Amino acid sequence: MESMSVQRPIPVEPGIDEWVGRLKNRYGERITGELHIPARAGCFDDLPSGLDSRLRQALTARGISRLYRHQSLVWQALERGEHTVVVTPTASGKTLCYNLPVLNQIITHQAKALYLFPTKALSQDQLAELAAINRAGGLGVRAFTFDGDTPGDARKAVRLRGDIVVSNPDMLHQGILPHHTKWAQFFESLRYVVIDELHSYRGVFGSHMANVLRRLARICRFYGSQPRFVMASATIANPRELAEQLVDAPVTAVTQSGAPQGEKRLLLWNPPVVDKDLGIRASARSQTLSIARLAIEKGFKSIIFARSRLMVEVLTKYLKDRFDQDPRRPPRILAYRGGYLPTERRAAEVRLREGSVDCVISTSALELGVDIGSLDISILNGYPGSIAGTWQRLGRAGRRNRSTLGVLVASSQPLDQYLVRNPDFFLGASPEAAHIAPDQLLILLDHVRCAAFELPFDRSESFGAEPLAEILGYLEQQGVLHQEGDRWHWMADSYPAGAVSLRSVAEGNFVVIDIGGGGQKIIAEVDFSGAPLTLYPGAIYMIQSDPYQVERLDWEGRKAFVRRTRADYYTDAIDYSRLKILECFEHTTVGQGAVLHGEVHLVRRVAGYKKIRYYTHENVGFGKIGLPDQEMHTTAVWWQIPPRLLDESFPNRQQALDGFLGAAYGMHHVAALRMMAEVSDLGRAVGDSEEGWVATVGNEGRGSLRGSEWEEIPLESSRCFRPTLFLYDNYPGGVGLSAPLYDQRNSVIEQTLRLVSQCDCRFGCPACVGPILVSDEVRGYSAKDAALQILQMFREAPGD
Amino acid sequence: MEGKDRDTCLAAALGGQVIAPGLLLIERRFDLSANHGSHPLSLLNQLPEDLPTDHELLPHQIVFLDTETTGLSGGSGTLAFLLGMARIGPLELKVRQLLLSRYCGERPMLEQARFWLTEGITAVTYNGSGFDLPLLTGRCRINGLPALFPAILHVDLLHFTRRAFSKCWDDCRLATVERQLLGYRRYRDLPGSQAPQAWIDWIQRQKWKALEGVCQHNRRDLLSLAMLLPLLSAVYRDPLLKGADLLSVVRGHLKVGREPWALGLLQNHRAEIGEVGQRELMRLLNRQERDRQLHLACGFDSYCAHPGSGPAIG
Repeated sequence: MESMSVQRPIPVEPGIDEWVGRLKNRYGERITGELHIPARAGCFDDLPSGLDSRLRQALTARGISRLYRHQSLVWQALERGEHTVVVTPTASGKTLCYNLPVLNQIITHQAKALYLFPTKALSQDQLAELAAINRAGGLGVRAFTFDGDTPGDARKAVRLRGDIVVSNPDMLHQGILPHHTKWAQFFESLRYVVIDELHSYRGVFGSHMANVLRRLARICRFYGSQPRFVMASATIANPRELAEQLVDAPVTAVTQSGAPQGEKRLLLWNPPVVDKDLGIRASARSQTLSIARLAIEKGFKSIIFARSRLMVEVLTKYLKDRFDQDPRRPPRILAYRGGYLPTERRAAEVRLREGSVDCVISTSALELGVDIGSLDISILNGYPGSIAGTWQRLGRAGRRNRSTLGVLVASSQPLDQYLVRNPDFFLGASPEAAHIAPDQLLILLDHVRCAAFELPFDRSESFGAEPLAEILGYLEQQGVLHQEGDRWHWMADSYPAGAVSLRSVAEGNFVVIDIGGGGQKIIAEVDFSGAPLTLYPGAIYMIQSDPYQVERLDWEGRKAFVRRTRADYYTDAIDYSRLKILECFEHTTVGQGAVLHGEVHLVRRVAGYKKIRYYTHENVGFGKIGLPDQEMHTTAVWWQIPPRLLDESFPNRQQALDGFLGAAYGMHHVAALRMMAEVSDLGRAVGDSEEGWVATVGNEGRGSLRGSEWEEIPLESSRCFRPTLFLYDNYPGGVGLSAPLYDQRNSVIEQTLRLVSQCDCRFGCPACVGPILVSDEVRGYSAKDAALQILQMFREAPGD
Repeated sequence: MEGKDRDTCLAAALGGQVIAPGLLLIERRFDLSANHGSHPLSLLNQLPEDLPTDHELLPHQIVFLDTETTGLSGGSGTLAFLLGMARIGPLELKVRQLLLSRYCGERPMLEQARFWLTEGITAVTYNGSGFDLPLLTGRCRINGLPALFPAILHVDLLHFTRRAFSKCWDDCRLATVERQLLGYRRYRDLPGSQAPQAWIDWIQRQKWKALEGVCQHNRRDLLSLAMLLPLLSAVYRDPLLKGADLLSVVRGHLKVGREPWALGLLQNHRAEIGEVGQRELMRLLNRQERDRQLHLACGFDSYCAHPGSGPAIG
């Protein structure tokens, strides 16, 4: 809410402009695109006439004498009793949009409000914000957080005395709704539900959230209240649609920001080519580091976004080696990511706000609205995977009306390369739409179970779009519900919400325990899905760039025991997926092959890991990993070509297989772009569709086969060679990605063809068909051509 | 089988009667001349006042309460399917159990419970504040009924047991209390943890045998709970008799302002109270002395060290 008081002239920072000019002079060929958004003046309205005088006084005390237009529009919509979503950029006074009407209702009507933030850090921020207004106006409003950290003896006070309860969806789901009778007074007076960071509720999390809100609405109906939903979102293409899906009701959208905005510059940065034959460019990491070093030396404060926790640690180490060598001085470089303990994260947030950090390196954990003070430059090490996410991260620099710079450094990933080579696509593109599938059967079933525990279901009720009676009947067969007359009652000795995680599909976080120095100290947490890839015995696990080696992993107990080490390398896991087709829903012929859509069974093995030396990035060894395989059922789209045709079109199986692997690589990335999903939401695999063999790119860069025991098998040995190219929904049961993917099968092939054929490389590179280590001369053919040939065979109208 | 017929069958099997659709009443009386464990039930009629409760406990005003539920995890999906209540009469302990034979019996069960509870003044439970009471309060809310427990006072014997014995025993479960204090051993008892499944078996498959075990288990709980009251009183009168933690008991008395009890215990057991106890004793004696001086200064010519009725010590 800062900076919204008086319309001040927007200060121009000559430093940044001058620096950008110098960068352009020196590295002009690396800058493929540039965007300049000039400063914009604000648009204001008077304070609303219905505003209580105490609140008016609180605002005046904070220097606020009028509202931004969007704040005033939200006020009006809520006055009319409408559910509202407001879409505004960072630093546009978003929190006042909901705080003002909420506080007004509380002090005039003794109403109650529930605030939901996706993370605990945001809850803490919000509480500080509310406390400030409260003090300024002497409002006497009691705002408390209620989350996993709330001590047991304080919980009762929060339930009974809280006017505003600040919590998160997980707590609502597991701690509040199943105990609603203890919250009866709160629900009876609940007038507003505030949902901030709406855009983060997409995919699996969003689908769960929609169901949690269905349960919340059901409980509120029971207590006779009908709260209004006030939502705030970063820029996405479909805020209203998403909000309406989440709250299951019409929603008014306020999409024009009335806040003034500082000048913004954006550079698209492509690392220079270092080996033209192999199409290898300098790494994004090296470029990001150079830009960051220049910025820090120049005295700018910057934030670097990395795409993985590992990359955060690697970048932090390099920058610390440079800038934090003197242990007597406070560190200038800070890493921030999920997995650090809450206390450590809170301390980092404080240091950021104080401005005592020159450069923070983060994953998407800081993408959300945690207040991190004022920053000048935001550097994205690689394309975050979505346009909305890119703007969200770029927006973290310059919250206070200053001119700022964003630099998107492209990696060698296909999407990155596509974007920096086609700057118009990115600069002109509208942000993605957020999709959720609240009626995905597994998710719905989970929440019907939870809802039945909370209150018995009546025959007249509905819950989601699927026929409720069938679901209840199924749950009765499972023995968890019992029908008596027109009601279904909970009947099992269990607590269903405890078994449902909103964020991931499997339960149970792993804790990382330091056993150095004789004691046992928990130093980090890793979620279930990330554990096999980061906590295998032998793995180097990093915290603030300090390396720890995993000595033992207790899989059942969800614990990893680590010890400080001095290794000069880091580790990277290698995993394989094997799929078996269970059922085909639909299929059609495309070109010379066929494309099918259906249900598959997937087995994933993390087979081993590579040791990679710092700085040189040479591979200094391998290790084996003996973790249990992970299995799931999901939905997929797969492509096949008749074996006879394959034999006729390719001189040998090796070429055909390399073609399949290369095509799969390109298609995977293009599909993610088409589906507006993260690359990790989809998985890819090339296999024989019967769980017989699975193809991987081996160490030497050629495709090879692994058999049912994951052993390497000769390519010519299998009797029938029928490679199948799978793109699958990477969540158990699927979250609705494969049906639209099947519908877009032709554009995926067409765009992949364009991506591969337009690539500068000669015989394949990470930007088109994946890393190819073996040259044409050695292979005797081009893997890129092989991939193009496979893609042509899947083309709807070959030869066009 | 129709719901009504099921109610009747179950009532016949368990020796109870149907008092509302889905709700049975089972009544049993236990002669006060009989023993429970190694102590006579007749102790119930002469309750001493040594337990440091906030208010007076009179035998005929007490309702002992214990529930059996469909789960132990708590939350709105857990309900009490058996609600047992016991009252002390002149000659007998009367146990009344309300048992759900169907879900629809819950509302009349809560209404009936309310009626019987308000016949007394104080509900006595074992872990009621942590479990039974919040659960019943929640069930009343779900059924749109007013809460049961502003209507009646409550004493949770678990608190007093913990205070006296948590340092001496491994745990303070009722089974431990029965072994250590009551001299009572259960034979062929259905473990409480099997109660949820017993009710589920009845609802889903009309198997009633285990329910009979649950009802018996609940009655035994109530008897032990009732007997615990006079025995725990004795512990608070003389903690060392049963090996309780003397200083904790002293603090229990002090917490409700019973200084004479505390002082009496410390003085009587001077040899056993150790350094901490001595300090506490000195503090109390100094305070007494200060009060006495204050009284004299105010012009009273005498000072009674034990105002009101003190404990019968020794």
